[in-house]
Amino acid sequence: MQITRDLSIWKGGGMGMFAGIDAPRQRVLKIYLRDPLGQNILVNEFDSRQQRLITAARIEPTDANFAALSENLLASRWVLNGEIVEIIRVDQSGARLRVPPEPFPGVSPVSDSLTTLPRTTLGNVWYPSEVRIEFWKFGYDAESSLLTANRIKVVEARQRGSGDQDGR
Amino acid sequence: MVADFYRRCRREVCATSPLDLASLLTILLVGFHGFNSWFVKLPSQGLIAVGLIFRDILKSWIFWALLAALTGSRIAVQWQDVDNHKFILFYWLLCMTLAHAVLDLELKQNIVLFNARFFLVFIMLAAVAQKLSSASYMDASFFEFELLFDRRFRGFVALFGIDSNIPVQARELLDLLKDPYIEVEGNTLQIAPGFGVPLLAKFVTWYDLAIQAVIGVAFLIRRHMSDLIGHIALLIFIVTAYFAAPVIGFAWTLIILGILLARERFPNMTMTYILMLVVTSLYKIPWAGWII
Repeated sequence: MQITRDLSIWKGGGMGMFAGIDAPRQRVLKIYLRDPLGQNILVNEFDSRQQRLITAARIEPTDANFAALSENLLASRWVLNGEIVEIIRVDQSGARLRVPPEPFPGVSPVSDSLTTLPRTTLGNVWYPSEVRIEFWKFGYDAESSLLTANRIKVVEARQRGSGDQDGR
Repeated sequence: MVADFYRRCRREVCATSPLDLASLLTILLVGFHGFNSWFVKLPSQGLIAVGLIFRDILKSWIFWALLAALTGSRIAVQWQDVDNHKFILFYWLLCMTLAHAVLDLELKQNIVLFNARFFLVFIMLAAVAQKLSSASYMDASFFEFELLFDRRFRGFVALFGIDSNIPVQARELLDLLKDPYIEVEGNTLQIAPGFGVPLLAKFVTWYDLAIQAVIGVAFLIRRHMSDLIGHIALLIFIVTAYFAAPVIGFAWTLIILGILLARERFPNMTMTYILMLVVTSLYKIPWAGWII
């Protein structure tokens, strides 16, 4: 499964923990939702069901696991949570670049129970029209002492009727 | 007085049958280092409490089947994030169920002893195979990465006189790279590991691979001398590996398998393993914070 399904060497009962850098915590998903205004929003807050699907997709990044996650994200309602998030750019030494940060609104998932709505909510709840999931792995090369982030896979999915899922 | 106590304990342990010893040690393992999910932990601890009060229940295969089912249910819910030693715990509980289910007394003991050896050999040789086939392990990148970025190793690194600021600064850079709200130019960051970390990483890489290979091969051979070498190597591995990375549930699993294999022929080694149950638990003390 490590070869056919890119299962993390640390998991699956194969005794590969402490045998390679590719541990689950060195794998990250970046998830973008398209809101009703057509804006792509990077999401960093998920409910427990979404967290489980994210964990499964990180450790075993199969098409089926990404499809299950994108279906859930598209079927979930989201709301602006009042936060403003900024994308900051840094150079290879970690120093901040003189580029203005790119601000965008923060969003939270809305569970079926209204009691879990975030305290500060702005506007109506909405369903995303599109979801984009990026699968990243972090690595390190002892020879060059370089820490690297590699985007391994991108999956895009739209609401039913507006197109198919596209993974590459 | 201490010597008398030690001799009495050793006599008691060695007089206990492998299956009874395995039963007691396994409920300790499940009770202290089983799954933390509420739907496993609560009923498992309840079962164990009943088993400790009514000791005959520990001889029932139904008791072990229930413990195995509870542990297996957590694996079934999301197997992807389950640690390797929890899979071993599940398989071990199935062995305990089988050992308690059969009627033949000798077969009961043989099931426990055969599987203890099998799991020990499997754990060690599978780990060696994974490491040999992993490029990032074999070029020492993995341990350099762990020493720099894994907080669990910060005390270990400091013990070797390496400046504790080096891992701190490296971790800050990794956090930058992982932060979804930070874009890093070229998606690469330059680390300054200094001189000591790469050297220590190379040593740990080869030490870890060699000692696991020795343990696996020694217990596979099944001779008195090879078993003796295997037990010595396993004890050294437990003392050193879990000191650096305290995964105590895994340490206890290895200790239990070691006790079962040492019980008959190496009584002093058996007592050393039992001492290791205490020593490895002490590794959880946050000593790293005291020396940095």
